[in-house]
Amino acid sequence: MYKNYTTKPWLLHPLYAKILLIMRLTMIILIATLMQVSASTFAQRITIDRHNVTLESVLKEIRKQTGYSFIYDARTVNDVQHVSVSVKDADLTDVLKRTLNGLDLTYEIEGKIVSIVKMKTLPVSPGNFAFQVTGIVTLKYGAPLGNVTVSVKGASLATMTNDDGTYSIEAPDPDVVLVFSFIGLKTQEIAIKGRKKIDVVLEEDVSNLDEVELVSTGYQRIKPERSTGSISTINEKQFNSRINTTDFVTGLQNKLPGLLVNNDIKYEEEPLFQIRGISTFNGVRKPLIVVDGYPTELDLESINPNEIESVTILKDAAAATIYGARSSNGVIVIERKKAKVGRSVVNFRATTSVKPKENYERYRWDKNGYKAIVENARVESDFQGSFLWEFLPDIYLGSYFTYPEPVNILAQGNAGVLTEAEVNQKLESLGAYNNTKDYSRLFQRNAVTQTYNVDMSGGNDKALYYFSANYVGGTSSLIKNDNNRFQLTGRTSFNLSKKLSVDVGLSYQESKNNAAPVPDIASLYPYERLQDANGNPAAVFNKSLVNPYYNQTIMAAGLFDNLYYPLQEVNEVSDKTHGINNRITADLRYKITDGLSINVGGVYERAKSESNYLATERSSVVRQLMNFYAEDDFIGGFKFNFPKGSFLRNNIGDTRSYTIRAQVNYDKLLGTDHAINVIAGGEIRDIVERSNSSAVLGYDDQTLVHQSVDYKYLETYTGNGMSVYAPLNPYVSYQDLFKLTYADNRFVSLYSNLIYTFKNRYSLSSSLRVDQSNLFGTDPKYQYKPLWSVGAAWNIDREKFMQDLKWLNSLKLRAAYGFNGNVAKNSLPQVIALTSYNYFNQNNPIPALSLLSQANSGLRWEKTNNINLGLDFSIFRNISGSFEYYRKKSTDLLANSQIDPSKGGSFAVVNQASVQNDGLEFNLNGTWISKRKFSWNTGLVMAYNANKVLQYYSPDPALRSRIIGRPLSAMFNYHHAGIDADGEMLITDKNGVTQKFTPELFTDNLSYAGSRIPMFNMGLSNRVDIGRFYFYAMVNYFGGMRAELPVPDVTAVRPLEGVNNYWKAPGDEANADILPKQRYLYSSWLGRSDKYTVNAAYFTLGDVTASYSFSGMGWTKKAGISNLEIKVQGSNLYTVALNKQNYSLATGSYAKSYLTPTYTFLVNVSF
Amino acid sequence: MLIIALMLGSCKKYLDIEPKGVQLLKTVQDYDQWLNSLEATTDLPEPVNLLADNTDVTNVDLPLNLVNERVFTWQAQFAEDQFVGEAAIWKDLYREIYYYNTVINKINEATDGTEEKKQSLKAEALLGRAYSYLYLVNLYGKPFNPATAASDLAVPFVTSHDLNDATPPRKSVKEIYDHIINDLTAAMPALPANNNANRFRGSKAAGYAVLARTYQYMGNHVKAAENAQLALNAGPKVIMDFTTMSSAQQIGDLTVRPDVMYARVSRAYNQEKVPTTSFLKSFDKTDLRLKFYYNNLGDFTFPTRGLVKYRSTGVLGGTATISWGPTVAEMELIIAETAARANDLSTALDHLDLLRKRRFPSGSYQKYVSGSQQDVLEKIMLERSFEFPYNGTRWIDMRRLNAEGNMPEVTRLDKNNNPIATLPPGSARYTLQIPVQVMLFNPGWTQNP
Repeated sequence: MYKNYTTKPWLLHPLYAKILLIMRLTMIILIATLMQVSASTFAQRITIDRHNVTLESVLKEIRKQTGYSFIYDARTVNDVQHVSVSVKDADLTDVLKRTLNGLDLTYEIEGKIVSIVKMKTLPVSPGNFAFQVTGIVTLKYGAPLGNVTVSVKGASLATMTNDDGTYSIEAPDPDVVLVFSFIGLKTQEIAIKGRKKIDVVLEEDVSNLDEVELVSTGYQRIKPERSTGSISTINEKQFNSRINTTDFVTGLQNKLPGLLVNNDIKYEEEPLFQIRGISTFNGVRKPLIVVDGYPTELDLESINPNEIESVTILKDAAAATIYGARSSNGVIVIERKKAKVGRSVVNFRATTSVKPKENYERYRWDKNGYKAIVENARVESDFQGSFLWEFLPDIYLGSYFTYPEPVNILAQGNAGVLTEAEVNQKLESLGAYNNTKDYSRLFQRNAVTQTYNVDMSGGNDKALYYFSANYVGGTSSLIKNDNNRFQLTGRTSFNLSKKLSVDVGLSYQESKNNAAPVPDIASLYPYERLQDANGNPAAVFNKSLVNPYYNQTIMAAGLFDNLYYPLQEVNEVSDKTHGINNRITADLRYKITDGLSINVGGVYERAKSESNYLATERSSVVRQLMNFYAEDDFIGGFKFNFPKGSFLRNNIGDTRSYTIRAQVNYDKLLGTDHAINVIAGGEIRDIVERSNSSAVLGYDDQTLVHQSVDYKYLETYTGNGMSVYAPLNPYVSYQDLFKLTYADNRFVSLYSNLIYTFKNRYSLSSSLRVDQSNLFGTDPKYQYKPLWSVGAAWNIDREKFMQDLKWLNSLKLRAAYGFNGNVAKNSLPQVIALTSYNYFNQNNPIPALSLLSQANSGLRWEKTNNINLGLDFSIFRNISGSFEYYRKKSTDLLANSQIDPSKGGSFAVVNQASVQNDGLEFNLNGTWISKRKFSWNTGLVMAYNANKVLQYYSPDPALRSRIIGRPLSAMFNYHHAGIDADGEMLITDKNGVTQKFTPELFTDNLSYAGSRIPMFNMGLSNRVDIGRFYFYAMVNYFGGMRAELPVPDVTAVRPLEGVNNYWKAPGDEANADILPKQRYLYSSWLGRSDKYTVNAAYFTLGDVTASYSFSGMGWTKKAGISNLEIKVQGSNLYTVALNKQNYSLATGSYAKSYLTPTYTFLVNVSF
Repeated sequence: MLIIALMLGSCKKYLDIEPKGVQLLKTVQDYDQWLNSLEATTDLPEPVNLLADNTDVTNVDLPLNLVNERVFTWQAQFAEDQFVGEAAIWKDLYREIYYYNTVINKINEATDGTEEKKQSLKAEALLGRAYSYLYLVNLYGKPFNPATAASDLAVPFVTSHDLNDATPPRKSVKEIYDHIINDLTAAMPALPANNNANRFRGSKAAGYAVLARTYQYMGNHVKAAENAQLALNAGPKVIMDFTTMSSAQQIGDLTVRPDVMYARVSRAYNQEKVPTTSFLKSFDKTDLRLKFYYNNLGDFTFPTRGLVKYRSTGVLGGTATISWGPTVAEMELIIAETAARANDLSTALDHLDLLRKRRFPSGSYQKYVSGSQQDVLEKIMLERSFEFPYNGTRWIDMRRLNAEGNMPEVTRLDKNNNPIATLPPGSARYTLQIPVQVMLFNPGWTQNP
């Protein structure tokens, strides 16, 4: 142990530490000028050669040479008479060090001012240092803390901790008190009492930095013990244990109980992203996202994960009712990093992620799939008979006969054009090739995503700033598909006076997306070549839409090649999107008196995106359109109604929204026992969404010239069966090409929230919100109906009778009841009409308007009645968690429901349906070991949600979803009863009778099979810190859902394993795994049987992260680096499913039997 | 606080914006076009024809799954399942009423147009609504009987166009008729002078004609004849002369025809109907209406069910559709019926002749003459069935005949010519039950027997 004060003499006094911190703040504020200053500092070379002179004269000389001013106490400097210094071309600090060497003086440089101050020295008296104490100082979460002042109370003895948190101090006697202090943290005084080793955990000083500890709801910050609602928070450390690169939502997966994030499972075409189940039919299902206090309408991509300080989810009524009509799905409150007084950093982060190419060897495609394809082709060609070969090139009939190549070969055999041997030889050579390797080589690559992030923050108590720049560049695993985006944000905060402060935030993001059509490998028959023998692009079956012989016929007639060449198409078609997201926030706070303040603020957001879809005349898109609209001109040629040239479709989307809010806050402790926290405010909000699509045809991207087109004439083709030569080709609709949309949604709301706390033990809360909107009806019965909530919390641990339980740190019971709302925007209070014609007067149709939807003045918010019970605990040293139960009953849900026919219709979209969600949630956070060089932390999150439809008037048994008493995501199947001696499927019907399956039996005999989306999810994360390393791993579990296995199908492009294992002869039915005999489309019915419905529960090894920190090492310190970290992560490493087939929904498809991992590397440097 | 106060003040104005991208009813022209809607004018419930004795369905078989089969056999309920299926007949008529209620309730808020034009559109809507209620009261209420009309339950008189408003309770037969007459009377002064440009729209003649029909169904024949005459005085007076034509195609477009007072049709107007063989046999072989509207007539012995088909546009198709709404011929027959009931047989026979002489080839035509009041009345009823075979009125005539004790039993045959249903005189089935899909939402209502 060396004595700190001898190596760092200038750090001895706590005052110096403070001065240094303040200096660092100033340095950061003036970072630009600082560069110049330091440059000039090093540029100013000093040459002095003096011996035995006064210190003052030396300082004067230095001042002369450098232009620096000196401040010092004349008495201290004048005492020093015999100084010798001899330097040549030395810099200022060097000269000062040499000059002051051996004197009890030290120096500080601030700007152009050098202060000379007396060094505090400790009395060195070996006889007194009989007792040495060592230990480590850490922060609450186990991170070692350097530069903590450790002093002996009442004596001028002090030292500071090293960067690894260790300290060593020699106390005058074993009974003194040690004082541990650090700016921003609570000072601790600890009596030594003879101990030789004292480890200290410093906590953040709430009185100084209270926003760190408080829970933000977006409208206010609440002390956790006062909160009555269901709130879960993830802080920066938990969030950043994994590497978050591009989207913040993935980083929340299974980390917050009640939030279900799963991109691999979809409900109504959308990936799962929901809080506490689905509580609407047609309304918004996603949680409301609030960034820095205001809801955002921007794309989630506009939230940079690097900027996230904390994420809080508000789940129940007590927590979320303050958001009123938009709170039914819960609220995600994101607090972004802010500059803080006393902390200043420049932080640079770079990540690179690589996702390897697909490995098609591991796909569950049948090795003998080609055999099945040929057999199926044989059935097809035999069915069409020997005439097929004649039909194929026929100019009229040929367009309706398009088959995969084996059928064409067999048709030639049937027609006698080829001998059987020739047919077999051709089929064999076709099947000898498999395109997976070529596909992978030509269309795929390793996906790489790179992110760069720089942020700078700092400031003093008058002004704070935070700036960040973020760049994300990603290339998809498909060629010619990539995206990149750039974001700049800045936030500043000014304390204009003691009473008035202003926050202003700006964010600007630009993004670019390039897409080109790469065919899905599942759409390519395995035998299809992508290049011909000369390496030119080859045509494939899917998307060609005509057979190659017919194609030759129409090309010979003067039409265009109708075939689809994937390798050509990818170069001829592009879809580019360019987006801009802007967000401006401003908040003004005025403190009226102690405890009473008002704030007025708002947010303005603008999102613009422009996409350009360009298909050149060489693309199949344009060739096929030209053929579709081609018309015989009866003089030996064609009239091309769709012009030759490129086809450009342009779409501009523009969303503007603002929120303006005024709020009064009152937060007061009355006496010692009563604490009151009230907010009341009003808000207006306007969201305008517009879009504008247009197209140009016969376009030249170089000259920008395009051709005029008779769209009215094109419309007569569309859907009227006028196309003669390629009737199955796609066509364009004028209404789709030129389309405008506009929606303006306005809200006016008043809200209030009240929390009353007695003796810090009992809390009562209530909130109230009235929302009005232009979307809704005028019935006063609903219009002014407020959404409200009440809640109560009991901090049991603070009761006297609990004080003896030393292992219990906190225990809180809470309950809340209330209502949340939701917006479903597919109805209006007015009569909506539709243009039509009365065509009874055939030659002159009379314009008419017909009813689209009835007026409904009772149109109103969807409403969720919410009951929540929660228990929060913290026990032993570092174990905390919570347990929650909730019931959400959502009523007045808008749905297309059966109505009284006396009201002018049989169905209408009315507030009638009802859904209930019940659930349990548990989370646990434990730090099992917290040693100086080793700590281990575990986070466990479990959530269960059961969803069921309570009321819904829409009796459509064929639909078989949304049945009362079943989940919204219900799956139904019928009971498979094996295969009979004819190879036919048998089912057990609803009466228990086994009979041959017919499609007519289907709907009546379905029974409930389970939910399609997980009812249970769990996340288990572990982090182990060993010295400078930490390791982090996350395991996810999704369960309580079922999935339908795809049935191996001979008509499939790439048949699955087992496709040849079908019934061929009586007796085969004894094999339980055998498929029924081949029959057209049987697989879609078989797939709905319980034989092909499996438990879809699965585990994934989500993230494994390793990190190494260089901070505090000699070379990093020399380089001025306060923190340097490198991390490596593997994500989506492995999955295992709890079914026999090991079919995990995480892989994206049954055919793919494994997960494709992503490997990420990160470098993080802070100055 | 000030900001909040200001916000509340301007809140209503702030929220009162007009949604774009949807067609709302704002201008007088919007409401004018609204009245042209096919749903309002050409969507009368086709199943009403299936109740009538002149309709045959030749492929009926047990069980009776289809709505049409169930209507044809006079089942108490037409939908098999209370949850599945729609409220046949009821839903179509209330759909029309929805259109008219929208105009009646909202036309005053139209942003442009003269007060006169608004009143005129409102009067047309009152007429249209009255016409729909006339069907409803004659389908779901007992035939008007002055002694019991005030207590016989009919249908709810829905006047709202807002889904949020509760459906009112069932009104009595008398109350519904009162509403019909009051609405028509109120509409009369503002109704357009004529509807020559589009017969689907209202006119004074159309108003009097519907009123004439209303009084006729109430059994107030004097007022029926009075209004029929007023209709004839006010509007078109022509009866299309089939003797000068070779096919129904020459009758002309329903929209502008001079013999139509108020054009209405059903959605399925163009479908072929199967007349019963007995109905076919009741025709005079030379009746031009047979030639114009029925095919496969053969030797006029009609031995096989389902061979002859009727088409309301005429066998050759076209736009000369038979109107479900009042025509000049109907007015003449109302006057004839009133006269016959008053035993003024010569007037009755003259008015009958006005129609008949245009329906038979002039060479073979002979004016119908009879001295028996009973025979003349029967002849008039028969003539009504020939002239308006499948336009929704036969079932209401059957109800009138049944109320007077003059309606014989009607029997339905299945596809194998075995009796599958009968409608005896005085049957409760002459008054339809309220559809279960309606009762579901109005559980407090009394159901018809």
